[in-house]
This record gives sequence, C-alpha cells and structure tokens, in this order.
Amino acid sequence: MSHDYKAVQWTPFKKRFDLWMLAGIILYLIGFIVVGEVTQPPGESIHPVQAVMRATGTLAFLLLTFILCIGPLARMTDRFKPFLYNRRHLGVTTFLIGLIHAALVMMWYHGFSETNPFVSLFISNPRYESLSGFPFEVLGFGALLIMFLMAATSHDFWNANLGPGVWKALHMGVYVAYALLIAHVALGAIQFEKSPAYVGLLVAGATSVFALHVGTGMMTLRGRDRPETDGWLKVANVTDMEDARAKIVRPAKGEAIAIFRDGDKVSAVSNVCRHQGGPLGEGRIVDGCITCPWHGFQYRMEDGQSPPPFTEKIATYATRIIDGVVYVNPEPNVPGTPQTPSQIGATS
Amino acid sequence: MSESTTNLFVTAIGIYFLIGFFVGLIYMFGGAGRIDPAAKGKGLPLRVRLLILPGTIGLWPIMLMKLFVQKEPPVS
Ligand code: HEM
Ligand code: FES
Repeated sequence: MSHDYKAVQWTPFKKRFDLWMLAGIILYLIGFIVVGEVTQPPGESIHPVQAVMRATGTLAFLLLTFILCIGPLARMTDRFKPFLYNRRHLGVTTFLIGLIHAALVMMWYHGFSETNPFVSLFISNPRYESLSGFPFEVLGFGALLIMFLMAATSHDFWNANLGPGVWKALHMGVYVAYALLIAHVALGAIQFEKSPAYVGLLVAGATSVFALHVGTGMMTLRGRDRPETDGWLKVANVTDMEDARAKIVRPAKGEAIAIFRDGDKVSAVSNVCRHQGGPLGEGRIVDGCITCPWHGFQYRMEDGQSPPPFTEKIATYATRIIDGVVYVNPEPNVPGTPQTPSQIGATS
Repeated sequence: MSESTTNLFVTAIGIYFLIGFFVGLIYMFGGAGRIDPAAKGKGLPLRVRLLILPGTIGLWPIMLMKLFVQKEPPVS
C-alpha cells in the first residue's frame, strides 16, 4: 500500500518495547562493569574504557544471538511474535552497540600512533597466515560492515526500492556476520587469554542459534503438505474453515499459500505480504479485503490486488471444493490475476 | 599486507564512502522521489531523508544505477 514514508511507524506497543529494550541495555552495561570491577583479581586493573569496550562487545554479540533465535522461536510459540515484529529496532540497536565497541577499540588500540587507525587495524597484527594468531579484529570489522548495511537498509524505503530479492540477500548476510563474529570472539579470547566465561558465551550462543535453526528446519520439512495425485493440495474440510480467516498450506516448493473463507466463498492467495513479508494467513478479512496482521496492508480476495489507490499485487491460486473438502492448486497465478472464488455449497 | 597496499586499500574504501555520500545527497534532495512516487515532496520528511543517507552511502553503485533505469519501486 503506497503511503507516506515515516521515520518510524510508532505504535504504543513499539514504544513500550523500545523502552524495555533500553532499560535492559543500560542494566546490562552497568551490571557488566560492576561485576567486572568486583571480580577483578587484586593487583590487576582494566581501564574503564576497556570495561565499556568489553561490555558493549559482549552485549552486541548476545543481542545478535537473540535476534537470530527469534525467527525459529516465534514459529514454535506465539509468545515470541512481539519480538519478531520488533526485530528491526533490535537489529539497528545491536549495530549501534557494536559500533560503540568498535569505536572504543579503534581509539584505544589504534588511535595513539602515527599511522592512520584504519591502516593500523589491518597491519598491526600481520599474522594473516596463522590460524590462532589471525588478526581477529579484521573479522569484527567485516561483521560490523555487514551489520551497517543491514541497519542502513532497514527502513521501508529500502524494502520497497531495492526489491525483495536484493533486500533479502543483503539481510541473509546476517549469518555471515554472525560466523565472522564467532571467529572474532573466539580468536580474541585466545589471543588476549581471557577468562573461560567468553568461551562459555560463545558456545552457548552459537549452539542455541544452530540447534533452533536445525530444529525448525526439520519441522518445516516434515510439515510440507503433500500433493494429491493430480498435484492439488488438500486444505481442510469446509466445516473446519472459520469465516473471515485462513488456513495456511505449505507446498513442497514456492511460497506458503493462505486460503481464506469469506462467507460462502473460498479463495487462495500467497501467504507473503508485499510490505515486509508478513504472514497474511494469520490475518483476517476486513471490509472484504484480506488484511495483513503486521501493518494492515490490504488485498482483495478475488484478484490479490490492493484496492485503489494502492497498487500492490500478490499471487492468486485456483481453489476447488469436492465433497466438502477444499483443495488448492499450488501453481501460483501471476500476481494480481483475477481468480473466481470457489462457492461453498455449489457443486463443482 | 604491506603498509603501502593497506594504505591504498583504506584510501579506496574512503573514496567509496565519499562518493556514496554525494550520491546520498542526491537521493536526499530529489533522487528518492524520482524512483519512488511515495518518496516525493511531502511524502519524505527530513527525518526519513536522513534515514536514506547511510544506506545510499553503502550501496551507492546500485542506487546510482536505479536513478537512471528505475521508474517505479519494484514492490509497490
Ligand atoms: C571494527 C570492528 C571491530 C574491532 C576492531 C573489534 C576489536 C576487538 C578487540 C580489540 C577486542 C578485544 C578487546 C579487549 O579485550 O581489550 C574485541 C573483543 C570482542 N568483540 Fe570486537 N571488534 C569489532 C567489532 C565487533 C562487533 C561488531 C562485535 C559484536 C557484534 C564484537 C564483539 C566482540 C566481543 C563479544 C568481544 C569479546 C569481549 C571483549 O573483550 O570485548 N566486535 N573486539
Ligand atoms: S508486512 Fe507490513 S503490512 Fe504486511
């Protein structure tokens, strides 16, 4: 739905979410620094700048770990849906915290020499051929660059103008960034001979991300709907279809399909909202239009087009009802193609 | 990497971002509206213009190309 761009589409919920997020961040930073100070072995001391550097580094890593877990968690339980809807703010915040960490490092370790700090970053440790001695800071730099691109393109304008392909590819970069960070922290811990707590942090973070993704991945594979002999997919009994609501079907390939019932009509459209990929099948029908649960974009049931003056289009699918059972053809029509709804009660 | 290659590399990154900054300015003041009708005039308050700047700095080769070939956002 074309509309004016806003800096942030605030809702009361988002404001509360961000306040909690901010409170959590401040608490973590203070807690980290205080605990670090108290558990410091006598005789050693780290500079406050180093303490903040470590606090922000670990926080950014933890936040990114959490962000990567949200997707799978939200598919297991609805309780994580709010985090899913607010991932954007979490992501941008994570980048900013990582940026503070990096800026402090650049200042503290590279800012006091004659050499340009960025040149110093790449050459102060030249052991590029070594595995355990590898200049781990360069890895952190790479991760930060990726996180920058993602944060910088998180606004709706980018979503709309880069096109879904480029945008998605860019944001899949988060996994590359995470891998770089794991190496960054692991090598950093080895080279600085840090406490085992860092190794614990790493192992716990990486394992949860990996296990959750493999877990939901297998769920998805098992949950693929198998076609009937002629390729159509069974959706549900008509009697099980709630009015103004949808059932979601996942074909072996292609996007998930949302099959809506509106009164005695049944139609199918892509489950993926054009705005930010919201799950249309979890929305409802309002004023005869399928309405996205995330930000309310609307599409007409019969042709998958947003009502004028809007111009979004999603794919439609053929449906049929045989013996009180609804079926859908998993071959999508070109987005915006009119498709006659199936009539409940009619013989077809 | 030797110091001189690194110098070259870092300078190249700097130049990349500098060009990006100028393309970003083009986008902030008119460019965005050219490729996206929703981003024309009042549709684009200053805060949003500022949000467009960093992304263009990073992705200016794509965005510069779009300025010439793209007539409408691919999604809307
Ligand atoms: C230009 C980018 C970066 C540079 C130059 C850099 C450099 C460093 C350095 C020198 C250390 C050791 C600090 C010390 O113990 O005194 C460190 C540690 C660490 N970094 Fe980074 N880093 C960068 C980006 C990142 C990013 C983006 C993240 C996370 C999102 C991150 C997470 C960590 C963590 C968790 C540690 C271990 C805790 C600590 O000692 O601070 N770093 N980094
Ligand atoms: S994802 Fe934003 S309205 Fe559907």
